[in-house]
Amino acid sequence: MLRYTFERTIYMIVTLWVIITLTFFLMHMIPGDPFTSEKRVPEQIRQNMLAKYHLDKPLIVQYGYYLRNLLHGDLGISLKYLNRSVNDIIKAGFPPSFQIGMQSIILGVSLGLVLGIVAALNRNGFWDYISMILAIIGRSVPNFIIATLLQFWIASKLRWLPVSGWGTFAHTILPSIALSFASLAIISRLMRASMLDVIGQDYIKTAKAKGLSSTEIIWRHMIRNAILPIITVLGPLIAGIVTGTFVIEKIFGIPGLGKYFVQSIYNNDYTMILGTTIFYSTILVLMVFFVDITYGLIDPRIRLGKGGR
Amino acid sequence: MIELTREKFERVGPNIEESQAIVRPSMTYWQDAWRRLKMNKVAMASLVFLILLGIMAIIGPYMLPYKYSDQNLMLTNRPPSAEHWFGTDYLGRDLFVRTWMGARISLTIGITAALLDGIIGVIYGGISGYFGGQVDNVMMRIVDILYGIPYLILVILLMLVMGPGLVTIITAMVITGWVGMARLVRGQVLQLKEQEFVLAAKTLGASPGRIIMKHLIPNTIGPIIVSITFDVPAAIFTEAFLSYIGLGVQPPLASWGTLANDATNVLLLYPYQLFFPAFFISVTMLSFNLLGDGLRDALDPRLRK
Repeated sequence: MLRYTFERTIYMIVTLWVIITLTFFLMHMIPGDPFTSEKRVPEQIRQNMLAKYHLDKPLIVQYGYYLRNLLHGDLGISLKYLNRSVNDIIKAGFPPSFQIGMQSIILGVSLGLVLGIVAALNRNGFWDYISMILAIIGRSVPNFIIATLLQFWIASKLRWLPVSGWGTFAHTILPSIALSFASLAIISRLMRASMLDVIGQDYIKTAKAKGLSSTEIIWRHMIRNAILPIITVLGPLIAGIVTGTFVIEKIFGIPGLGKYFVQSIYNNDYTMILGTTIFYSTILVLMVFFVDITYGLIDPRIRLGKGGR
Repeated sequence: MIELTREKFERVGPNIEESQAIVRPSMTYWQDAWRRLKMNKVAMASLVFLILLGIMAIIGPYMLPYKYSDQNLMLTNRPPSAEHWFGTDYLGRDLFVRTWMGARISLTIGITAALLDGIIGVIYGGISGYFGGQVDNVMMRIVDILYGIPYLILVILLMLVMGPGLVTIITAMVITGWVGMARLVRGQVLQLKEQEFVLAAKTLGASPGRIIMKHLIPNTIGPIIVSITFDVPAAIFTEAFLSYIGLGVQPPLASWGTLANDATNVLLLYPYQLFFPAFFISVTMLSFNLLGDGLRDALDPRLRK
């Protein structure tokens, strides 16, 4: 287990380093510098501004500066929002994004698990069809369309919930639901398949033969075994939800990090793009790391199987 | 009692010709797969829908006497009518023509990106799996790292660097998208390369390139096709997503993503404008997914019931 964890940690660090380097150099390939759109300023002032942000140094030196600051946890100063550090902006923008992301994961995963289990236990029954329909919707309707439709019907026609904005819990309900559809679809289908697989196993027959009650068989033998493969999709799922927040925040006017990210792209705000990309990537890579470790802990076959699947 | 003599018996020997005659026509892998696919009604319906969609993407933009970029500021935001079958948008552009123009662009992006992903992934995975050992180790570590990079974020960054446009979208998606296919093909090749027919090919002096392309890849073609079918809707979704946040195809060109984005801006006043792009994105993604499911059942002999 130790060796497996160590291996995963090395991967994580290398992945992050590749992302940082790639982002940094890609960023500087974008035509123009952040001050090209400013009003015409005297050359001297321009030079001073470039010097202030170290933009006049050779690229490799800038890269060195950036890495050094990064190791101190400093993501630099935004080039557009005067004197606001990227750290500050992330601190302000992350909580709303995090709350919506977490709520939709919890909603999607828990509802998906329940639906999957119920569907497998009533194969070809009513709930099986309900879960199939939901899965089809979640798989084929993009989240931004679900979000717009929810906003249109529930908020602006029926007026049950606020249309957009941020502040109370009511504001978070629709965005969370819209985001959770995709994970709901994936989890419920996977859980159903996994449950059906387990139901056919010999140890379930043994358990029945021993005279265990069906509740006990379902809880202790079926669900515990069927839930294992679900953990592997959690990593990619979280990635999907995190990037999903970009559009969802735009639609519901939520002052989250996704909004800042998309804005910084239009503003050519180097440090901001770099900072948010690295922040997002770190979160995602960390999530995948924890998922891998958890899976290794739960299922010994993974860590003993030379890392391959 | 009747006497049984030899003459009363007739020798019925094995009729070699008859017993070895092939009664049913022999079937190739593809005929077999096609036969099984035909029995799957849902997959066939999806296939028919996709073919119709493809035809409409080609002829649709010419069915009405407007161009996708023609503006008519006297007729903005009109509901569907005899002149404008799907209505017009906020610049008076005909939505019927734009929807099919969008279909053309979305399908082009989806199919091209998926095919390129497939080709690169197959070559990379094939080489990695066939040579094994250190080569495989290094190549797969690279894939593992690329796999860890959040897909959409990288696509967004690449779009920024290369500037918006059709080619850029496809390139950005392919740079990040081939990894999954490489993993799949490598896994398949690792299993296949120990089999006797590979050894036979080797003994006959076939080069590694020939063995990979002529022996190993054709034997994994089923999973590859299935995976490409699932990649198409993913690429269409990514494009719609990018267009929706303003990074995709640029106006006046239309894709389903930009149409949906335009429609949401006037959603409260003209909700029906969202219907067509939303409907076609959803049904297309659904059809590709269902067709992929059908193909998986038809092409993968291991899943046969």
